[in-house]
Parts: sequence; C-alpha cells; structure tokens
Amino acid sequence: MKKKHTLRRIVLTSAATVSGLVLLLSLKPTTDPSVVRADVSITPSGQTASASSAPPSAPASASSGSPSVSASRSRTVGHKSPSSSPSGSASHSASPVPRTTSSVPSAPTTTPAVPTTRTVTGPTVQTKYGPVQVRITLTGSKITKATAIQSPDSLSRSQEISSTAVPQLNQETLAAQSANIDSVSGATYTSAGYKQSLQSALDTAGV
Amino acid sequence: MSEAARVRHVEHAMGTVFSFDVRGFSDASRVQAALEAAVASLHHADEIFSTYRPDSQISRLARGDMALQECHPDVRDVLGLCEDAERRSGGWFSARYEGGRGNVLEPTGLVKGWAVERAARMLASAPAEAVCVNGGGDVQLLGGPWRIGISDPLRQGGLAAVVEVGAEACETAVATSGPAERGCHIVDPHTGEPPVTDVASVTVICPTLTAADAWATAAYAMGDRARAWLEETPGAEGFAVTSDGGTWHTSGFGRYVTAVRA
Repeated sequence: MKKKHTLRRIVLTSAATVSGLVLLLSLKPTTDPSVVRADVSITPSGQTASASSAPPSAPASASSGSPSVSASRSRTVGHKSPSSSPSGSASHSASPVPRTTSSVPSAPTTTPAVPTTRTVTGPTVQTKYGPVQVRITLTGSKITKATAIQSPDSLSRSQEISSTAVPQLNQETLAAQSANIDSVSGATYTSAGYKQSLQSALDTAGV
Repeated sequence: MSEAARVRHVEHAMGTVFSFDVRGFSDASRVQAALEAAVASLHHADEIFSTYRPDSQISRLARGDMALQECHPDVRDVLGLCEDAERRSGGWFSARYEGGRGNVLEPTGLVKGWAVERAARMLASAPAEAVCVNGGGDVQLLGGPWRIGISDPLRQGGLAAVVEVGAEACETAVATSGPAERGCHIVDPHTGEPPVTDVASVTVICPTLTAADAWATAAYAMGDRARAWLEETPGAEGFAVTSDGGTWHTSGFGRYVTAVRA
C-alpha cells in the first residue's frame, strides 16, 4: 500500500518535472523573431527599490554603461503551436551540431555588474493531465523563482497532481540551481530521455 | 590566457547525448579542432561497436562474418579491456553473457566510458586545463574545478549528492548505473536476468571512465555485494541510493562529496 503510493507519487512528480524541464528548454534565448514576441511589459529591476517610475531605457546608474544592468525586462516567449507535444518543442531547442556549439569568450567580468533580474514566461505545454505553463525569474543566470501560472485543475485527479507535483517542481528547479553544478551523473539516458534531463537544462542554460 | 574562455557542445551519438564543457585555454581554434576530432571519434566508435547495427564490426564479429584480425584495432583494444574488467570484477562485468539469442557479444558496458575518456583526452591535449565530457550520464573530468551532481534515482530532476573536484585535480571519472532512465539494461552475467537488488543506482568514482563505467555496471549487477567489493577495489570509491531512499558509500567517498541527501 505504502509502496504503491510512493510509486504513484514518483510518476506524478516526474510528469510535472518533465514539463518543467521542457519549459526550461523552450525558454532558451533565440534569435528567431517569430518565436520571440515583442516585450509585453517593462517591469522595474528587482534590485532597485524605487522602481516603477524609473525609465527602463535610461541607464539609471551612471557608472554602468549597460541599460540591462539596471533595468529588468519581462519577456513573453511566444509559442507558435501551443498544442504541440512537449517533445516537439524540446527537440526544437535541443537541435544538432552547429546550433549547440557555443564558444563563450570572456564573461563580462570586467564590469562588477548588478545581476539583471528578468522574468520569462514559458509556452503553455499540453500534458496528458492538462495544460501547464511556468514563469521563472532569473537574477543574472540563476533561477531565483519558479511559479506555475497554469496547472491542471479541472479533474480531481489533476488537482491532486497540481497540489503535490507543482511545488515539487519549484523546489527541484531551485535545488539544481543552488547546487551550482557543471554536469550530472546518472543512469544512462536515451536521446529522448535527455530532453527531459537536468543535464539538458544545464546545457541549454549554458551556465 | 583568458580565464573565462569556455567551449560547450552537445552531440547525439550511440543512442544517447554527449555534453562537452572545456575551460582554461588560450587557443580557441585548437580547442574547436580538438572538439571536432573528439566528436568524430564518438561517431566512429558508434559505427564499429553498435550492437544495434547489423553491419557494425562488433555485430559481424559476433555472427562470425568477420575475424578479429580484420577488425579495426579499437575492437581488439576494447575487447582486451573487457577481458581485463571481467577478470578484475570476478566475472561480474562481462562482455559476453548467455542471452536469449545464445552467446551475446555486448561490450556496450565499457565502450561508452572508453569513448568518452578518449574524447576528453583529445580535448585536454588541445591544450585545455579543464575538460568535462558527459556521455549519457557518465562523466570524465580532466583537471578542474568541477561540481558534478549525482542524479537521485527516486526523484527525477533531483540530486542525491554533489561531487566536487578542485583545480588541482588530475583525472576523475564519475559513472552511475541503474535501471532509472532506460529500463533495466544490466543483467547478471551468470543468469542473463536483471539483478535482484534493492540498489536503485550505484555510482563509482575512479580516475578513468573506462574503469568507472565497467565497475559501476559490475557493482549494479552484484547488488548487495557491491559495497564490500568497491571497498576493496583499489582506486575506486562507490556511492549508492537504495530503493527505500537510503544511501551508502565506501569509506573514501567522503573526500569527493559536498552534499548528500538526507
């Protein structure tokens, strides 16, 4: 009985985590203009207390040349086909050779910048339990908050999933970030399994 | 030399995904060339060793359509390493087992680790100071510092422990075996059946991934005997998560670990 319950919890948790990671993947910055819609709102920087009246386009602090240091952008990443399967959207971002190769020249270590805070909303992903949509807040390259802004609630079974699995997703996203790891060792994943893996999220984030 | 210089790459091969992370180099073009060569070496290994491809040398060798002397030198090297691992694991690692199709030649338990280790060395000789190559969850590190999460087999996306190596580290490999993500692909070489065990996953750390991958496979097949065996295997440390959520580790594992799940 106890075992059965545990098993079910694992299944439910996995479903939510998978959706979360798929969303993380599809949040990858992209240059495809059809995927990135225009900014819907400009929100004040999480670092600045005064904020809401601050003109986001003006470099607020004189010492910093980059507007992105002081202003935080809230961006909605649109999705061309909201009904497409999670694996479909994941494979879009985990595409082959040339796109994933990145040579990162020196990070801007010369400017002791205040980390930019931005909020990114993922596309709605249809899961077998219902639509899931996640919004994450990044300070610099670190995820500081993850919120499910849409989760299944129509069926009683779905409610059960929402109440247990979605909080779990938030914790796990944060736990992986705070562990500040470079890579993940685990039982061998397939190419398909990779798309839902923490390693895939690390590769995509490039942090 | 730019401290922040870094090259990352993701490559699909051998039915899984390889993630490269290279730091600490001054000549990016040489690292890029080494990366291309390393990637090519993975695909070459896949062509030769894939048991899913009927025309691979390993498949033809198993059918008797090809003699060992006709095979690429890599085949002899790998089969030699397999024999070595079989001997040193008391038969718990084996490239041959009695399967449903008769005597199956299956060096897969060692090939991936071997291929990853070789790819990592190609990158280090670019030269680069710190190299991390992850082949489907098995990691070869050359140099450092690196922090490697060990996946929690009971909570997808969660970590059971974090392994840390410093900048002074030379060679460190982290391999994990378990049924978690691919269904159980490990069999007891004595029975041809999945092992009877309460170990959900077992992780082995030793200098080279060729050994770590084989030891992790053998340790998972051993089940409860793995802990004592890893304890007495020179140069290897082990960590396991059991199906009830508990963990165990060998006495020397602690020097790598910064955080273990409660």
